[in-house]
Amino acid sequence: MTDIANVVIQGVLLGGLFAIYALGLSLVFGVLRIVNIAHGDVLVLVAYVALVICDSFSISPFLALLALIPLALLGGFAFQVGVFERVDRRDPLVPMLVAFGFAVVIQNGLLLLFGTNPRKLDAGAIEQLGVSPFPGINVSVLAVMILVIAIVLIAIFQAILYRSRFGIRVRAVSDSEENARLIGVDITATFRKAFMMVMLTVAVGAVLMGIKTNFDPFSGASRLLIAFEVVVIGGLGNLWGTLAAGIVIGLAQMVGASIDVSYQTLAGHLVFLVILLIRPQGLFPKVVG
Amino acid sequence: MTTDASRPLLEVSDLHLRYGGLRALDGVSLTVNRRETVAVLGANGAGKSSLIKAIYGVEPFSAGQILFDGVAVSGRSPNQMARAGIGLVPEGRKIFPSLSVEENIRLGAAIGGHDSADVDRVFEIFPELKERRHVQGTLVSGGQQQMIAIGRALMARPRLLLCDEISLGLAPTVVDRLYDVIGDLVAEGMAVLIVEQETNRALKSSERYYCLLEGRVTAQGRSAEADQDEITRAYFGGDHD
Repeated sequence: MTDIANVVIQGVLLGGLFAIYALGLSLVFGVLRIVNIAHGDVLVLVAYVALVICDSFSISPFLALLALIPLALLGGFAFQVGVFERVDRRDPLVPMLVAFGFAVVIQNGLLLLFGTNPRKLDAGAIEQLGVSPFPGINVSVLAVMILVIAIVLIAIFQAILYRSRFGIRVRAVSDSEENARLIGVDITATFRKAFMMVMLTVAVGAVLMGIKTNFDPFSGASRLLIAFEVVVIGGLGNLWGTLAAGIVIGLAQMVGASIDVSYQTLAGHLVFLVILLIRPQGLFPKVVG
Repeated sequence: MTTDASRPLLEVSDLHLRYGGLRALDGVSLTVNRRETVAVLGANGAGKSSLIKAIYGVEPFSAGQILFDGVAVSGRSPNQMARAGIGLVPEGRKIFPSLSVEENIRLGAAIGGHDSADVDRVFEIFPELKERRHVQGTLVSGGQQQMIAIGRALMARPRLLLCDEISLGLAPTVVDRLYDVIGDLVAEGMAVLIVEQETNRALKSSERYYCLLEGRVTAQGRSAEADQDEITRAYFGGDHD
């Protein structure tokens, strides 16, 4: 019984990390209508930047995040202005190919600079810290912290999207960029701000990923795959759905791992496939108002 | 900059607009004075909507000039036009399905940057929208969607309202109501440029009119003095009995 409880708890907590991976993609994919297949590689790139900051200044990854967030926002703004605003988005294939090109450049650039050795961010004692609320039940403090961060981030983003003027603009642009432009919405400014929001999630996600798991220059593809699965199951643009979907994939992976550790990743993909076949629109469609 | 109250609020001079080889506007000139309703009449394809889109910065025009309150606004984006004080009630209403009735209205404030207290004013004008404020914007009736589109434009506190085919597909009683509201807005100091296919309704609700045919002004004058035969000729071209 405690084994089952442990699997469920680990699955739910892992879902927090997956939700953070997917949050930025959900905004780009569901709101801005850009299929950013470089999302996983950008996560890995930012994790390497965090590694350099940590190593250079001998500081904790959490402290490095303070420097990483403005850097990521600046990078996101530059990428939006320098790249996405210059490509013809009427054909969705064009920005997708541009993103693919960037993914390849990021992978090879990181390979050149850092080699293939897996890396990890060292968060210190917190990584080993655990509590046992009931006999036989073990909970990682770091994993709980990641889930709490995911919930707080989603709550903030949800409030921005559903309680602010900017959020109304973003959702209008998501419905129809052409109509939003027609009635006077500043599309360029809306996209820039939204992309900066995305990069905020990437900075947080990269640090948490770097602490929780190993990463190397080619880790982006597996992160992108999980993020896509979470976004699709969660329903495009539905942020609480993203968290729920993250937990679904996390649970599936932990159940798979409890049978045989080599089944962990496969179990997550299988659950995704089954849900996709039954409900291609996702488990939690976009909400109104 | 001081405002010359005697000068028209909107001055459009010799406007030309082409879609590829098609000439949509061919030297259109018109004015709209303060506290005035001006109607632009014409059949489908006459260039009415193109004129609205050119004025509002949606369609770039090849030649001509647009002055708003004496300032050249040619080449500005719709967002800049909204901030300058021009509101648009677009053809087809353009209600956003992800937004509730209230959010669709508030989108106007998100463009013009005005206080959310203006929502209450919109709800005073259209009380039925207040009752349905949390309903998905596209799930209310066509008339109520048109009210949302007008309310959304009012949120940015425009001095000039551009209305593109607001009567299209609506019951006559609803159209009466919408034109009554427009009359009230003009009485409060707003100027309105309406584009309509329904000639009688537009003439009844405006001070002056322009008739377009194939992108050109074929007739203009005071609405109260409009001659039906002349309008019909200007509307369709050639001889019509």
